[in-house]
Amino acid sequence: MKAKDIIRFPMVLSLIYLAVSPATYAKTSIQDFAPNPPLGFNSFDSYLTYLSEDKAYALMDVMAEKYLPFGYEYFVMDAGWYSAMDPKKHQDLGLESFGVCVVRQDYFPHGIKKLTDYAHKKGLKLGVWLMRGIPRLAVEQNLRIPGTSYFARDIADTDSVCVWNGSNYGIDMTKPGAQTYYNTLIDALAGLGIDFIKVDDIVPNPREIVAIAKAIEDGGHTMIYSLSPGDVHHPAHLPYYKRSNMLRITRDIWDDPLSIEKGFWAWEKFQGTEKPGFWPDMDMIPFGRLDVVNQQARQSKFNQNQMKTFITQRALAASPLLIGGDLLTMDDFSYSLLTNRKMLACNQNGVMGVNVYRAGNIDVWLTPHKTDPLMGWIGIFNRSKSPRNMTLDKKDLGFVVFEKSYDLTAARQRFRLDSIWSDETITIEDKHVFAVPAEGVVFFKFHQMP
Amino acid sequence: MKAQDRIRFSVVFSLICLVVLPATYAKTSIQNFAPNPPLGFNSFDSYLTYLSEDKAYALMDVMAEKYLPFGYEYFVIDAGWARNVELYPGSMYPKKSKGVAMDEFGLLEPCQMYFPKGIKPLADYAHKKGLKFGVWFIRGIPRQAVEKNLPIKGTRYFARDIADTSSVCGWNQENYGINMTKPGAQAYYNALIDKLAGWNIDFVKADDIVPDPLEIVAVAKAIEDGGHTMIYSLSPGDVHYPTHVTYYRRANMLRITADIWDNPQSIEKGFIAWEKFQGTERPGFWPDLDMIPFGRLTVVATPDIPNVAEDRRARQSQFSQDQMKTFITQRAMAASPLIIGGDLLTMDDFSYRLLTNRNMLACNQNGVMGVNVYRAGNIDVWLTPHKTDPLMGWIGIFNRSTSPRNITLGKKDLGLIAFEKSYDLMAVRQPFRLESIWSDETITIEDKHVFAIPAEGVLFLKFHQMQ
Repeated sequence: MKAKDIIRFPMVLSLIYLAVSPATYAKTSIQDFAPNPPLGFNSFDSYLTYLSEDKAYALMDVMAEKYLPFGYEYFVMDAGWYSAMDPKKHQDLGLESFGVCVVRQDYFPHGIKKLTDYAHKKGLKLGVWLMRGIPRLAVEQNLRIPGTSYFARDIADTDSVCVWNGSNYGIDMTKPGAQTYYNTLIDALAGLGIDFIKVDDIVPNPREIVAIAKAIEDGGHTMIYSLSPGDVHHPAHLPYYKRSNMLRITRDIWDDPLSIEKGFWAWEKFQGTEKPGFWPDMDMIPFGRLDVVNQQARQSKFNQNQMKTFITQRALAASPLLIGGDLLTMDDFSYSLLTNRKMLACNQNGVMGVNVYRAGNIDVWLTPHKTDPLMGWIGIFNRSKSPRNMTLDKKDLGFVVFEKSYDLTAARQRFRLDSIWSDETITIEDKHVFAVPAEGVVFFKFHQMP
Repeated sequence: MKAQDRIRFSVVFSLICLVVLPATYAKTSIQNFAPNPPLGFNSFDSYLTYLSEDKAYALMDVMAEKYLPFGYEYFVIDAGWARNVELYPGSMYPKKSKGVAMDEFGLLEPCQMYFPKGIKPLADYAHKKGLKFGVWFIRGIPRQAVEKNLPIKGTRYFARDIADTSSVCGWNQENYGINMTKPGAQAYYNALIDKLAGWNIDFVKADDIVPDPLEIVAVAKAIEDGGHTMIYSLSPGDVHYPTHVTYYRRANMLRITADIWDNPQSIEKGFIAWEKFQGTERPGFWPDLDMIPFGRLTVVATPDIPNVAEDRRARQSQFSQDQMKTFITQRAMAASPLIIGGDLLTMDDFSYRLLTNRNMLACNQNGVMGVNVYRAGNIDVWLTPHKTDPLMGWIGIFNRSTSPRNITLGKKDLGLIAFEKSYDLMAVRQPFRLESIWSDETITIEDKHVFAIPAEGVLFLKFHQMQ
């Protein structure tokens, strides 16, 4: 081979790789963005719709220092960053010339781009909340959809409104210009460096779910896509929910016992629908100081057992973990739960557990290890208000095998159970008496023994 | 840039490409093999465990000519190809089994009576015809290999080191299960899969394996670590446990019913399994409602063969035409793999038309398991959403009774719903166009409509929301 050929050969080879590989793989797919449940913080539970710039920077500093080492990377600003949440005052919205909301000057005088740059410098990712549709103000002013010959009134569906937020009209996706509106909105956010969007009022509207997915993918943006709210599903819409990375499956969750029950119901209903890239989402984690911006400011009303139950549900259900409480004032106990590496390993395993036993207010849920059938996690939950001693055998715990005639029986082997919330280790040969506190849980990693 | 630098630059650049790109993308993942439900033929319903070479070539010829243009590409030989038999004189029907055909490592070999030239020429013939080739095998290691304590290929271990003699199949005594915690166990499955891949096999149907997650995973590893492109199908279909779904998903197909035949109970089993597994499908993983017993069945059990069970006698499928439409509509709307069971050599025209209906196949290849949206008085409505466009999809209105029915259904009953202002579930305001798949009828539904459904029959409709 001559020198010139030597040059040419590897260059040609390189060009083949460049030509073939990107063509095969480069199409952006939202499903590639979140191979494991996303971890982060959302401002709503602590700052409601009143997060300001100085607090945002302070929160990101704490998050980068104390939470990022455990994997919490998405810093998400909920509603309010572009308007106060007062449906009667939608006139306060600031609009770009094309009808896309602009950041509030009073809360974010230096804009969003500086925040995203700061987040990225710290190793974090930045997310914002959005509302489905186009601002009513843009429709009143009949602003032009950029790059098109259409106007806001051509695409707005004034019958499609949100009952709890009067800022927007829905969009009629059959109209020309409709997709362009969403493309422009998503492109504008991507231009600000936004890595995550939480879109509200969108779950009931599959066409708009798909339109935003297209805007992200066709724009080539890497942007986690989260759908809300969490109580308006229809099973035939599941393929469209799966165009996103996160689907809220509960109503708003707060620091009360009913919220824990809602978690069990939603988990059971959506169990098995998860896949890498799509994670049913049990809502934010109201631990620590909540509602810190108003008179409701309080320490989370959950007791320690309720907190363990709450976070164990989300670990075993592979829910995204979005911390809701104020990171600036988080108490040590909450912090120790949120950053427990064994709990996080169960969550990041990425499999929604299965309810394998239910009787007398005792639930057992088993989360299989994603690749190794010899290990996994179990949670024994006491859904009553009294402590319980419960005798459970291997079959109750879901340690089963199909014998010769395909009869379901307890596995013959012994199992080692390592408690996540204590140092206890149990070897179970046949059965065991488990002491489960009122509204509490015992959470174990299990291994089948040889 | 000097010539030397240019050489250096391009060599370095190439090395980066070679190292980075394959490292990122080249790992074989079974989930990438079947982006849509696989379509094909399996020999069991028509040839039981007695398919012979001449018939296999004849079937592949017909398949390539008449079925491949519609997407049916996997030609799968079920059990029997790796078992030595003694035949009834003058027939290809076995008098008795003479044990598993295997090599010096306990790995499967073709039956000398049925496949004297081996399996590889068949697979190569399939590929020449544009088909893909599959075989059945059963979990574990042959008991004969354990009795002889044969070596595990490429290891210093022996069959008795890895066999779990307490892990046996209730309906097939050829093998023992494998204790996957033993050294040499994974190597055995690797050797088996590598051997099949060496014959250019594209598809394996592993039986007796659904109850054993460790062995499910072991075969998946053998395929992936060997870098083989091989569709992986799990049987049988009535021994599931919900925490094992994670391991079923290491395969491309999971049987979700017990064996299905040409009887009404099999149609009911289809509804029950569909409902149970709805929503678990993913591109690359398809709950499988079993083969399609249309056309001539168990053709090898001709009347001159003695001692054949009555339900194994050669026959035309006992399904009525309405039952057949129900049966195939279930599989279209449930995105089940479509594996034809009846004899391709003698398939009747009506069966062929159903199997090759392009509108039916489009619903199946859409790859979404439909949802039961209405159930009352033996009438079921199932809706299969289009995978990307919320304005279209498919509806099946099934009559699960043995009398014809006229049923009035509104848009909400059909699942054509929207969430209104206060998130109330309402009928969509727009009219819908409903195009019948099994007839030329087109219906526009504004509000409600009276549908006439034959006994045990179905109305199968593609819907579009209108402006």
